[in-house]
Amino acid sequence: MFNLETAIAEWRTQMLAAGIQSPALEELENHLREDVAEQAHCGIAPETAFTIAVQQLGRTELLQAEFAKVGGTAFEKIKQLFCTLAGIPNPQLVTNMNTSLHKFEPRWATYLKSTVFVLPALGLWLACCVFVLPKLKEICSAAGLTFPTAVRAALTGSDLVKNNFILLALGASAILILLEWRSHRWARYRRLVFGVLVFGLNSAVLVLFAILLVLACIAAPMLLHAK
Amino acid sequence: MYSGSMIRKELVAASAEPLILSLLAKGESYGYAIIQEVKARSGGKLNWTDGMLYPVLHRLERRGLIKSRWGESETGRKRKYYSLKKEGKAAMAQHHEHWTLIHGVLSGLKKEQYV
Repeated sequence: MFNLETAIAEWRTQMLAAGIQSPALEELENHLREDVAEQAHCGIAPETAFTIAVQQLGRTELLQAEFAKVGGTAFEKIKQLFCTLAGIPNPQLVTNMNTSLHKFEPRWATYLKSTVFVLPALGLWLACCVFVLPKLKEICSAAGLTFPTAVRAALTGSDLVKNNFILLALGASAILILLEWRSHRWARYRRLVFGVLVFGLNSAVLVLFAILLVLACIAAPMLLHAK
Repeated sequence: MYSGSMIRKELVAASAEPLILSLLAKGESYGYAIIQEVKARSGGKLNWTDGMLYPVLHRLERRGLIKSRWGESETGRKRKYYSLKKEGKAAMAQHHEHWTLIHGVLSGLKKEQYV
């Protein structure tokens, strides 16, 4: 049994996927409804009326190309430029080349790359937390070295992450699962988010190592003097 | 789909702007009504691809020739109404001038053929 509301909802999803967005989409939907109602008035079955109305609207990709030509406000243009520079797939460019969703990096590729790039840093950090940090703290206290606030904050942060590692990992997985499951915009930003996160994690580990190295360099001569 | 009585698509595209402006000069209107009126006035020969009207309307609005507002239809749904601005009237006058000129040249030549 044909249901107009379902058909329109389906049509809306297709239009959204093609890159036709809200105010314009509402206008087109109103047009569609009016056309269907008018045809129904002339005694045409709703299903046929809907098919004719959609056909009469024109091919989606052509329509999208026309809407894209209208261009945006200065803000929209800047946003698009930013998206392009940040490597966020741009829906308008995508549809003009008619490759639609294939432009997004596949999910497995993003996850695999992120894992590969983050694992060495994570491993090093864990090893450092278990083997190096306690010893260094010992040496520093023996040498009578008091940490500056920034260093203490960094070390406490590192400890906090280590102690609640499982909890944090579970939380992050839950957020990811939710995003993958519920958000249709996530696919577009997935790569960027992972890129920034991996970069952030690697930088954090690097900074921590630098701090440890400086501490060791300061603590060693002090230890000699203390003896 | 091409038939003798169909108007070429280039001409359809070129005439869309003056037609829309002239229609709106009669008063506020919205997408579906504009299409229906053009269809009726041309005896069904000027058949736009319905969806294509909206990008044209948006472009005219961006160029400051027309303005729009969201209103309500008889059934209570949101509907976008368009109306002509002063700049649009000037643009329409210019369109009329150009089309009259072309029409004048064409009919002059046609008359000469039958002399």
